[in-house]
Amino acid sequence: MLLKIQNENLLPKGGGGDQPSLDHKVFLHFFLTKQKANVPNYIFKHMIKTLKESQTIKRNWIPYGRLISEILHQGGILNALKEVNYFTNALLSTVTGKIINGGTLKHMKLIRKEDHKVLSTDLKESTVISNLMDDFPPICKQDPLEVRVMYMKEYFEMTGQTIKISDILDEMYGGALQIRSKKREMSEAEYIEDAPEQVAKKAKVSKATASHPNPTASDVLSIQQEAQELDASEVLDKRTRSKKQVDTGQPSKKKKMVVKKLRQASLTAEDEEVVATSLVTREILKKKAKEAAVQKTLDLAAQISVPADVLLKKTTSEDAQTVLALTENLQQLVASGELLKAPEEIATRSEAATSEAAASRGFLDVSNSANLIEIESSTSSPTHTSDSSDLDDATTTTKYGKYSAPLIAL
Amino acid sequence: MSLEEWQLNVQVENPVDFISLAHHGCDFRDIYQAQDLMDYFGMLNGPTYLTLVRYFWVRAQIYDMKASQLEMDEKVLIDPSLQGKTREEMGLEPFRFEEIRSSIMGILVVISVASIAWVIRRASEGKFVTGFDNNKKSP
Repeated sequence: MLLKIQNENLLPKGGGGDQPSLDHKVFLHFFLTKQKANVPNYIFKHMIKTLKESQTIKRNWIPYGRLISEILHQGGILNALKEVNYFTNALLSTVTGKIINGGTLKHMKLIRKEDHKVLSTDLKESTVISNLMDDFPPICKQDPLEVRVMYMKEYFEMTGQTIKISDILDEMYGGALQIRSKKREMSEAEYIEDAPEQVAKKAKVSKATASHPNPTASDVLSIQQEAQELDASEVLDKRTRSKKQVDTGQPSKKKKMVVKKLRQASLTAEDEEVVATSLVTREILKKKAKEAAVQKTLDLAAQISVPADVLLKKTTSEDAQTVLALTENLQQLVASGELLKAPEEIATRSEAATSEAAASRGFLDVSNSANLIEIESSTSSPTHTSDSSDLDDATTTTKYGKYSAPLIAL
Repeated sequence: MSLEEWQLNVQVENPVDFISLAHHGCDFRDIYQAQDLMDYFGMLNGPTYLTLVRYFWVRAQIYDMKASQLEMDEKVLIDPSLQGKTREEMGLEPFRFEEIRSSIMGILVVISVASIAWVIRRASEGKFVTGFDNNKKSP
């Protein structure tokens, strides 16, 4: 356990702790025998050693992250950065270390699982970041409006100073820091760009792949293209790196263009397919709509036909009755001899009646008309019987015309 | 320096919860109190600025005897009359101890034993035995 603490904090090393170097052993010996060791010198020498290693054999581990940060902080670098407003945690990628406590003992299987107990006095990961920011309101834009308004009011009453809306942060300043993990490696793209952008880009890529369900053709072509354009050295370099870096490696402009074009081509083909299918569906829909409309009209017609016939019958019978009444009147007039006084009036009346009758009769069955004519003939005066027998075959108009003609003649 | 900034991994020290360890039967407080390191462990539970540390590390240079001698040689090359003179006479600062020199945004940052001792609140004194390069050579 002591060695673990030493390996993590005092003389950090990259690998595991099962094979300590002699320096580590000697250092540990001083600790156990409680001889006072020159710890700062050890730390400094170790720092120089690792710096030399990173400069000569490309050792990519930086020891004493927290110590260097503290030196920078104490040296006033952070104050200088604060003055130029370069102070967000995201920009400085602030992290904190994992705490060694009873949980670590449990993981190292030095104590049993049941024996491990979380204490109330357990150290919590540091939330202190206000080295950088000394005066900030304890409210953020995520708080409800009333809370913000109330806080501003009280603050104004207490201090006489107002808080500007621009001073309120989007997110609460502070909070738990990200715990540094050894496993996670950083890629170039991640380092240069901010993390959120990276996420957005990934999302975009996933969207693009989702929108192209069958990109096999374009993919194959792009791979061929890449194979043609890639240099052997680049390929080797990328292969030797981790997979992450290969993924984030940016292709050249030409490659990008080609891939874009291919994607466009695949898009257009797919679009055509989509359009074609949509056309077919439209046609089917149209047909269906037509059929439905026809069915509806047929239904309506079926509903309408019966009352229409009835109505027609009614109107015709009424017309016939009125005509008969008129004829009776005329006959009476003729009998009385008053007809000669107003021959024009009668003519017009008779014409109107005939036209109405014709309009109505157009829809009538032949049998109906025959019956009507029979009725007419039966009700007509005995002087016109010879005429009525002739009228059976003739149309109604001619009948009434003939009927009226002798009247006028009379 | 051929290492790129994003290839560097920062080893962040792990804070130690001595109370929890003592509760579980590993009381190291005496050991570290004997070395006056409790302040150091108290300091560990704080923020680490990865960006700044990387920035510092890639620009870091070791300034030791060798580097100071090189500095003097350069001066002599420019002006041969300075041959055999002391650093002060050459207009250079006297070499006191080894340093790691770097800069952050144009500000010179120097790390030495004294600065580390100051940060961990402990005097730079005690035994220092080094020179064990290889395990195989040890008895």
